[in-house]
Amino acid sequence: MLEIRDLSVRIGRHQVVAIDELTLASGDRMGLVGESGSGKTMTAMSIAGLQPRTATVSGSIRLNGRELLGLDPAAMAEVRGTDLGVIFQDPLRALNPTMRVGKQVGEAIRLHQRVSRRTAREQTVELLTRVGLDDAGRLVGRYPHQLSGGQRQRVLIATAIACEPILLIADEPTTALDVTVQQGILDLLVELSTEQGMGLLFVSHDLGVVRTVTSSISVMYGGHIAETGPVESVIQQPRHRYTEALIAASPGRGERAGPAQHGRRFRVIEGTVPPLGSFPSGCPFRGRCGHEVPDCAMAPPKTGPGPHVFRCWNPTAPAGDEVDARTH
Amino acid sequence: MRGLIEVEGLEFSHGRERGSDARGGGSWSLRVPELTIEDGSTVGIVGESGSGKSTLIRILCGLLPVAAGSATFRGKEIADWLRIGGREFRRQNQLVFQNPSGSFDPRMTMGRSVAEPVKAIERRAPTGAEIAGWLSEVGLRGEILRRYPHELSGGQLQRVAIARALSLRPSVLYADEPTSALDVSVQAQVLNLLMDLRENLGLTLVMVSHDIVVVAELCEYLVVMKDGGIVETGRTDDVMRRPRASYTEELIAAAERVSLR
Repeated sequence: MLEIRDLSVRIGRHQVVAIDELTLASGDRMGLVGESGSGKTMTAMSIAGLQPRTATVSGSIRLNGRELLGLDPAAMAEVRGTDLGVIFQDPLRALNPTMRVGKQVGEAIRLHQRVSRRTAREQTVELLTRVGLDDAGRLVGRYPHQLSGGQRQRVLIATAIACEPILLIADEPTTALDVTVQQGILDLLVELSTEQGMGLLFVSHDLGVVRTVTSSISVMYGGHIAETGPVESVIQQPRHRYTEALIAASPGRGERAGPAQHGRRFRVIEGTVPPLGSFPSGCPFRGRCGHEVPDCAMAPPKTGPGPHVFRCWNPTAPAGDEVDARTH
Repeated sequence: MRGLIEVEGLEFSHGRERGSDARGGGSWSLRVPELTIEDGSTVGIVGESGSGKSTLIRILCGLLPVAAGSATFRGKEIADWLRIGGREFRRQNQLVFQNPSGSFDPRMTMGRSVAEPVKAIERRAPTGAEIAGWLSEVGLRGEILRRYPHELSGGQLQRVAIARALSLRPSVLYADEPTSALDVSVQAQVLNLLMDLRENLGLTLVMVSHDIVVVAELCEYLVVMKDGGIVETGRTDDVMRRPRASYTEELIAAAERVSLR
């Protein structure tokens, strides 16, 4: 359904995304995980045609066979209202503060369907109810600032799914929300995806959140996909050293041993994510890794039995195979 | 044994508006019937938005007034400390904020920024060797002194913010979501640094966070807050294993669901 080939996004002299291949089958849910500067958001925005004006995108992005790169802005806007929905981290900024919520959702409906205002109004209430907003009939008359963060995100989801897209891109949709509210939104996204057979590209910095939502995961670092595969396989048996380190550094990963006293410390990744354009050549994680071999100066090849593949010259041992077969 | 910080019948209220989160008006108030923080302990204050966690530590730092009730530091009302000038109180109570890039004047070099508290509170200019010493305590090298905030990463800036707070040799370090704005790979470094400093300097550490997992890993005591009140307090082990409040259970369950364990 979504097929990305040789995607390159450049800002000025800097290459911020370099993805040779990324595919998402119809109705599948994939997590795109990375830290700041990983290129995850730039990738998602490029798919939606919402990259900053200074960015140059090349390669191929096909949605249901249709090439999206090179479409003029009007055609791309049409795609965003039909086959593609997008939701962002901050729902307050994505909603118009001066317009009642019902009108905004109604506009999304009427923009792409030739229905009367009245029908649009009825559909709006239906849609708001479907995204879990009780009392939708009353909420349509409210302004965004009168809603809670969770309610706003639900409204935004309603506008995004108004035209039953085949792919929904969700960029950090729960990062700004409280943890107890987060759950409901994550459940809703899974439910909508399952019921409507809608594909979901879920962008997040949080591996734990992604795990509860998606079936597969791609871990990005320095603009490249370090590792991709079924979500449990990647989290339980990470092969790339970056994925391994990221999981180990996540607070709450270890057994709950109570307060960290008596010298107990978190595992850390040394150094800091380099600024744009300062990632080393070869493997971008080089220099922070701690498992470097001379080959790391060259771009690592794609390795591993599909569907779990990674790009690492010195990966962790595969499960159940502690001794490397080549040493025999 | 008396606590270093003792709160009794504390009340505080904001007016109608409370930032951009105000929903349909109404007032919001904080009520803390009782809270004791012992000298040298680590206390994690956990809650969601609107719980009052940040307001509470701002009161304890003397940045917001006590409307009713009592809040004492070393047995003396915070208001009284501030009435006599407040310099000694501020020296002993330092705060580190969530967003490190917002805590620095963009036009000042790190060296100047770090020197500010000692200039303001001790009324003297710190020596270059002193400043370098503070930075090395947080694992930074002296070369950073000539840099401007935009030239440093979030993790480096948060270290400088911690170094600056510690330059006054405070008794209590308050940290308001100190790692929320940082990348996962950098979070652990800053948390480890806070633990090192606490052990080496005998600090009392009060950390505010929305993330009960992070706080539980770092602190001996937990204070769980909701809607301007304290829901539960206790030793971290007890609270995490046998939460008494259903809200605490809810927070733990929400955190566990997205944990990587």
